[in-house]
Amino acid sequence: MTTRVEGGASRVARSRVAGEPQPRRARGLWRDAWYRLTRNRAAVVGLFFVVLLVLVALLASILAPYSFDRQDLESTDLGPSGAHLLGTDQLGRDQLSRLLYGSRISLAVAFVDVLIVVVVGVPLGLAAGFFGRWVDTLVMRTVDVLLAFPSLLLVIVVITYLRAVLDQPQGAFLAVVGGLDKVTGGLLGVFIALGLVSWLTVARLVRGQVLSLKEKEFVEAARMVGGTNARIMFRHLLPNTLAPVIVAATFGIPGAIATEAGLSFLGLGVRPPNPSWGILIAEGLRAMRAFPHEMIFPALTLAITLICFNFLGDGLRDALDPKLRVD
Amino acid sequence: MSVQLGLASILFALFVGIPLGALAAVKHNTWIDYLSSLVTVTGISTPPFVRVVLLILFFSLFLAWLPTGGWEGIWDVRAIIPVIAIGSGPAAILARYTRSSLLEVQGQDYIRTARAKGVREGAITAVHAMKNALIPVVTVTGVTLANVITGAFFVERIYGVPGIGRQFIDSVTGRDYPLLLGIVLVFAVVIMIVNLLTDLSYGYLDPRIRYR
Repeated sequence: MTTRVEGGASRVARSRVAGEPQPRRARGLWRDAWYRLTRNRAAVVGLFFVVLLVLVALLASILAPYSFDRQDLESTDLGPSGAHLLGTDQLGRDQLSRLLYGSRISLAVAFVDVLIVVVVGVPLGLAAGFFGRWVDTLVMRTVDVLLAFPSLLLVIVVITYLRAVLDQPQGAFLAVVGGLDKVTGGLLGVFIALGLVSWLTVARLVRGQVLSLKEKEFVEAARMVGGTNARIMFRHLLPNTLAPVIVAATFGIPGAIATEAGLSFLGLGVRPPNPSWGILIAEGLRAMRAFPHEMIFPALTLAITLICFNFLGDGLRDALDPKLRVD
Repeated sequence: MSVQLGLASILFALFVGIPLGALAAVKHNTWIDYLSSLVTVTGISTPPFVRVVLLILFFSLFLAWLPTGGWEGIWDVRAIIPVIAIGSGPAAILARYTRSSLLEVQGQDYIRTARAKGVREGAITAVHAMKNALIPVVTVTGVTLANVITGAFFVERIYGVPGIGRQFIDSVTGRDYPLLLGIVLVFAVVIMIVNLLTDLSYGYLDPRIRYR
């Protein structure tokens, strides 16, 4: 019975009497949002590009004409040509293949970022808002402290420390983590550093939502029919905070991808020969005067990816919560 | 160098971002608005090291107007690319805030009164609306300092500016921990002071807010 009091659009949809002449078909919140999203041209472009990127990352091994680390020292620094569509770098590695494989790293970062938001940010925000008192104080003061730093500064400092610890691991646990970090080409360190900052805004957002929602009647009703704390939190409060969480997570993705690229650019993130876009840009920078193509393509790919994720985020925000629109 | 570069970037952000946002709000839902929002999204979403790379490619290699790196003081042409690269991020944020806040203010009663008095449209925007619309914008300016600092890391390194941002990156890659700690401390103090000033400025900008 408690599922009936969730609130939101499902209630509106059910209240329509079937068979009555209707101006338009009743739709749920998600269908409504989907309809608004597909009417937004920029969001559709963004969505299309993101789907394309996922496909490219999944099929990188099929699409790429060469292996990303195959060196050919007889054809270094070639310009774009039929054999190498985007040219080769200073070790004769095919740029297009490296770019395609690089999308895997960026998308892995995006995926882990969302995972951390869902697994850490949302539950902590829910708990802080729902239980209040010392839970709230503990979680929110932690968030405040971590948010006081510019996130990139914090990430750089943390990853420097991690690199120092993991390269000469002491104790079994650190040795395992350091080994995993080596196997993933340095990605694990990036994940840990990113994980420290990526859940903050969402935790704060969810807490704020829960604080206002838990006073609403449907929570009282759920409690009255015997809903447990966990059930109220995850079954009733969580669905109602979902829309802003999705929007915030989408806006978080380009930030995470840019941070990873920035770290790799500085030589702190993914290790060569793994082809992160940040590494490609850094390598292109070395010879930009003579061979600008080595820098143009990764820089443009990264820029377009980030812009498209932002378009998608803007579109989702307008679609999921039309009240937030300025005009 | 970093202070010069940072100040110039913030000034750039103010003098580009606010007029851009105001223009977008006044001409809102026209192609000017759409163009400005495209520029804004680009500025917000691309990280500074991508912006500086693209700027160097376009202005230094393609057009060959500006040098590709170096630093000869803030009044030299070499300062143009780093200032734009760092400043365009905060500029985009400011433009977005100016636009939404101006749109909100323009719907208020005293704007209609001014219009009824026969004040010209340009004067309404410049005098009546802007003054109130800028309150949230000024408060955001303090927050954008974080963008300027993290932007300086990459831009100073790529463009070869001998500043504190490059020192920071060198200390990180060279594992010079005492220097690293020192620079982080300096950044923390600067950020704290600016946040304090931002908080105090609320009271001056909006007399309804008073500290006890």
